[in-house]
Amino acid sequence: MTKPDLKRTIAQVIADNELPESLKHFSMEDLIKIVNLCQEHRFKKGDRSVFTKKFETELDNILKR
Amino acid sequence: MKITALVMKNWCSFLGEHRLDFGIIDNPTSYAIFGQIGKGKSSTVAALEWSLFGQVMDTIDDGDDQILRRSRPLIDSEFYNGKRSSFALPLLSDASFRKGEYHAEVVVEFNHQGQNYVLSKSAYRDASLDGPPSSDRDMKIMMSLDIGGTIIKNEVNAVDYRSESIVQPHLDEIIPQDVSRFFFVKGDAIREFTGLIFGSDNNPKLMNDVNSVVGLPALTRSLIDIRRMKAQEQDRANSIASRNKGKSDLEKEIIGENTKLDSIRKGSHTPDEGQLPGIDGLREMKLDLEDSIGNLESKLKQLDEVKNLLSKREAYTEQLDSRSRNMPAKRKLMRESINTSWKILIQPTIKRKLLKLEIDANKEIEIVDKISEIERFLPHDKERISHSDGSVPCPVCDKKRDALTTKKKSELVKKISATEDKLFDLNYDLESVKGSQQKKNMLMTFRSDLSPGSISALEDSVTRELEDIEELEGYISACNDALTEAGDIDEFNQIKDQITGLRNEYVLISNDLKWHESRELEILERLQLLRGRLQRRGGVQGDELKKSQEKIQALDWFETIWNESLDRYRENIRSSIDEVCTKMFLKWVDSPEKYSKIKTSQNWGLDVYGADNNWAPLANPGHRQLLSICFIEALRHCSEIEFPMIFDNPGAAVDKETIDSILEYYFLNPPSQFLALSHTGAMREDEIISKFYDTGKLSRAWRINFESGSNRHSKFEKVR
Repeated sequence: MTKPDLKRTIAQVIADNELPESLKHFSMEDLIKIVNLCQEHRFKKGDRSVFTKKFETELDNILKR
Repeated sequence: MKITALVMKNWCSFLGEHRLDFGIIDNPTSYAIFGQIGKGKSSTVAALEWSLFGQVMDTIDDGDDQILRRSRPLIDSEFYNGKRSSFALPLLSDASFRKGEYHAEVVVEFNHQGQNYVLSKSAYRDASLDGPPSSDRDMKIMMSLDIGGTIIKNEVNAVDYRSESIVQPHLDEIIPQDVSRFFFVKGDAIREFTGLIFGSDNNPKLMNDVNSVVGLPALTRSLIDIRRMKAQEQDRANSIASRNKGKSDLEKEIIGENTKLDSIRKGSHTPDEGQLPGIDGLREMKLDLEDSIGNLESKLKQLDEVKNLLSKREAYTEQLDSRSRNMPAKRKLMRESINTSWKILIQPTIKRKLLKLEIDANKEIEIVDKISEIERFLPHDKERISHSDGSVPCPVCDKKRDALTTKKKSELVKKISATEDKLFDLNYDLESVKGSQQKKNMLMTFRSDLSPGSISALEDSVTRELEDIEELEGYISACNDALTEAGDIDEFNQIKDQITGLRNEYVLISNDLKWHESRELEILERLQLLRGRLQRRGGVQGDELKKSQEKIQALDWFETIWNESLDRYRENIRSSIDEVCTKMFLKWVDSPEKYSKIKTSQNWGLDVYGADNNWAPLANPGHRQLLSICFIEALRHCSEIEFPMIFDNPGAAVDKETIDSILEYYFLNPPSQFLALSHTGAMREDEIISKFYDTGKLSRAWRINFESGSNRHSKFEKVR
């Protein structure tokens, strides 16, 4: 039985969509990092600043390239 | 998460400390706990629930097919004192309470994502109390979590536990209480769960919980965060853009100045004045004019003789004009001089006569004055003589005068006689000089300052002037003759006129160009200033705005990807749930030939389809419970959450054959950790041991024994 895979699903969606110029250096490793981050914080309610800070750090690192 | 050990102390029916070791957990493992009804199986599950979620819910069927749910308290003094109480029994062991030990504790040792954790949770009486606690208000909780040697802990009031605990948020991140129902599959809870699935197709609570267990919050929550981050970044970009408005104004001003500069340099077109030249055009025009003037002057130079002749003629004409202007006056003077030249002859006589007349005129004035004086006083004296006294006023002076004595009268007569003689003499003298002034005036008309020399000089001057004029006229005539011979006078004059016109135009264009160049300089200075300002602002804010816009673009892209992924992933999950549910249901149901498939609705409700592929009602409660278990298995299959699957007397309404099938399935295909707890009626110890332990599918098994008496309590006995 097929087990849905979030990372694979997102990767497929990314493949079907064009990357913007600012994310031209976006890699699979980045995607895994970001999805892991999303999964790590999926149940955390209330203050989400830890997640947003980590997400923005990852995003800034990608944009800096 | 995999549980490695569970320790309970004074917990429900377990008096004192009891420990369950789950042994090696590297591979998927199954465990079984056997026990009679009411001896402590559910208490074991409750220990896990309380330690992980802080709450143990008990459910009961109220007899009207309604499920009642209630949270179990730590302390219930009425229950301990043998009074009627709620169906939700207290968690502190009653034997412990009776012994005065108001302290219960659960320790869970587990491994999560390769990290070892020790969760310890103790409930004890508030130290400020002396007597036994009567309710949870009298209890405190100390909770600690050891994460690989790092310990976090705090003491909280039992009633405010969830809001005050600093440990609980860490546990909620591993598995929230809401989704735990899909892993704690309990008999009564199954009924409740079945009701949720089939009771309504629009159950937000169920929908959220299912969403959570299949991992959708990884997308939905981050999507909200991404949108928030995007909105914040947009605000930031707007703020930068707002700050950049000044920059934008500068840019507009620079564009405006550049347009002006362009117009100044290249010229402009106006509806009223048409095309106006700029600096470039004016410079070209100036150069053209310089060339034209130069060319014309060259031509003019070629006609140098004509130029000289014209120049001379001009000078002569000018002199002639000047002299001709003076000649009429000189001629008139000379004519007048000649006409009055006879006066020169009588001038000595005129002078002498004028001198004599001058003397006589003065003498005449003197005599007239004297006569006037005498004539004024003589009547006065005569009137005095004619009156004897002074009673009558004098008609001359209007004064009353004293009467004259004879002597004085005689003397006055003599005086009057002498005065009359004098008056006579004066009149006589006057006759000889009378009219001298008039004569003098008449004689003055013959007076003249001319001398014989001056007339001669004047004549000479006029003669010379006439000679000069004649000479100039001769020169001019000669020039004219020469020019006639030289020819091209008209061309010369035309060129000269052209040069004059061009020079006038040159002056105008030069002035216009000068104004344009000065304006150009002003604009260039202004542009330099503006560009300096723009560079200072643009250096920081331009980069900032660009980065911000790139970030918005990236976040926007993430939002799109996440949205699309959410739809796709949800569909994948639905498809997977349909597949698992259908497979398991057809595997476990007693009459699979009646059904074809299970489909989940948008809100995770379940629809069963009959063999004819039409929707089919599921009237059998046992079938509904079975389908609920299938659904839970489908969710576990789809879920990223690693948590033990705990079956506590599941499927109360399901027949034993079906339960056996389910248990067999899990023992043979265990999730990461599978724990089955069941009474001997549903899960026979000997059968399970022989069927699964002996074949290596069951890792460990315990039996719960119960000791009755005053210290009645449960205890584990390891079966295998």
